[in-house]
Amino acid sequence: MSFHDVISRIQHMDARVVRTIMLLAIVIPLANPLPVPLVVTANPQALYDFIEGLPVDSVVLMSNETSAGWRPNLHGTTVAVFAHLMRRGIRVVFNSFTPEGTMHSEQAINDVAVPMGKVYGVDYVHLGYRAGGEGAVAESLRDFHATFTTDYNGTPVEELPLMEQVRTGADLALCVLTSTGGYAGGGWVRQLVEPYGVPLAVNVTGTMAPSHYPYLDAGQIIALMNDTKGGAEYETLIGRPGLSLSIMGAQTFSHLLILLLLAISNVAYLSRKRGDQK
Amino acid sequence: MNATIGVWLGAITTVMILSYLWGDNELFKFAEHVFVGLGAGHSITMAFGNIRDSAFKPLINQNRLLLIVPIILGLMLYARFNRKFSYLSRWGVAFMVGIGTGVLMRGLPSAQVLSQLRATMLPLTALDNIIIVLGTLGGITYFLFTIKGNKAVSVLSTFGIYAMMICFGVAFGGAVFQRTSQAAGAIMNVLKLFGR
Repeated sequence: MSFHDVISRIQHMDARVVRTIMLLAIVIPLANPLPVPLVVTANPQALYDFIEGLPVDSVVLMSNETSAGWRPNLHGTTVAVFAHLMRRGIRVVFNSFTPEGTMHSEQAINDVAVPMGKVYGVDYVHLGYRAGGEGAVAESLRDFHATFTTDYNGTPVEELPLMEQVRTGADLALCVLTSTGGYAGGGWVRQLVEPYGVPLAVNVTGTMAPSHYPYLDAGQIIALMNDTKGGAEYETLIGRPGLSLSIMGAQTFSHLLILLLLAISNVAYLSRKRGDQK
Repeated sequence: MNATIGVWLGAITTVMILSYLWGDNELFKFAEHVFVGLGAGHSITMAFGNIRDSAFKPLINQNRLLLIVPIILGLMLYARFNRKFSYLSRWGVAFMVGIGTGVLMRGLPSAQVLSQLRATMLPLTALDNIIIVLGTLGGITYFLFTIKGNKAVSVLSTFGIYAMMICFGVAFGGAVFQRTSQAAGAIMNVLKLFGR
């Protein structure tokens, strides 16, 4: 079989074959986890160091603006950061401006705070969901108690001891935003960072990350956690392997496969172009 | 027991969705419709709870009578389903657009104009800084349609094209990255059945 025949076969390969190979490249590393060398980069390290430097009893807001489909991308980071905060005795307020974000907050609470024996209302609270997008973000930061009159379970916020300490955005030591779209980091820079001067860390998907680098360069966000990689690095930092680290093996092998397919398809394209010119 | 049922349901629906990789089929359509239905149901429930907690309860329990205004404006949005009264829905929309614009303008000048300008005014002493400054100028120049035929503008504009192409490449890489994460997360639902 000549080189051109091989190229022609590759070009006319059934897409289902490629999909099956890709599926295997993901399934095999997940079923048989392999140690993947992971270097902790500047952003997870910056967030880790910042949290290490926070005084005990500080209050951190974790806003989950996510939808169900993005759980594998971002939930690992949420859990790892929340676990770090709980270990340090820092208090956390969860809220959400997307309906499904509340589910992810509840899962993080059940995975971290409940096994650690942390007390609801004292060590952490979950305020639930409010509609209104960026307007609701601005309003909640102006007055948490007026925007979230009750928590996720319907308890009046006035009855939660932790919320006595949290009235406005100025009472926060840090905000960790997990977002899958919409106004995302830009909205929180406009409504929290600029008016109140509160540090912001952003946990976003791979496609959203490039649009957040300008905020990072301008010093408006302190850390940019990029998809599962950010989460995997943070899990490494706190020594708590979780969802993100378990995905990194599949990431590595599937990316290598994609690079190989890109190289093959480009060779095939150039070869055909050269053949056509002759 | 509930957790076991959840794992089984998650695994079965994941396989049904992944069956699309082999071609469109009834199992995929069923799982897709269930997902859309569940999502819509959950959103409606949350939205109703939101209106109940932030509007009706404070109105009734705390006598915050001013809340009648947004409730009426919200109800007016539904007037669009009646041709005769559809104009009323514009009041609610106008209110939302006005509030949205006002909220946005509050922090926008400092957050996305001044701070970003300041971050671009860098000393050209490091390669990073040179790339940031030239990339920004090049990107802006590419969208400058009023000056043509000027060589300096043309060179800067070409640099802008390459800078943007690199950015799009990074975004595409990010898209591949995030889709692989999602696929891996979905497959993990299935592997849970096998104790992985």
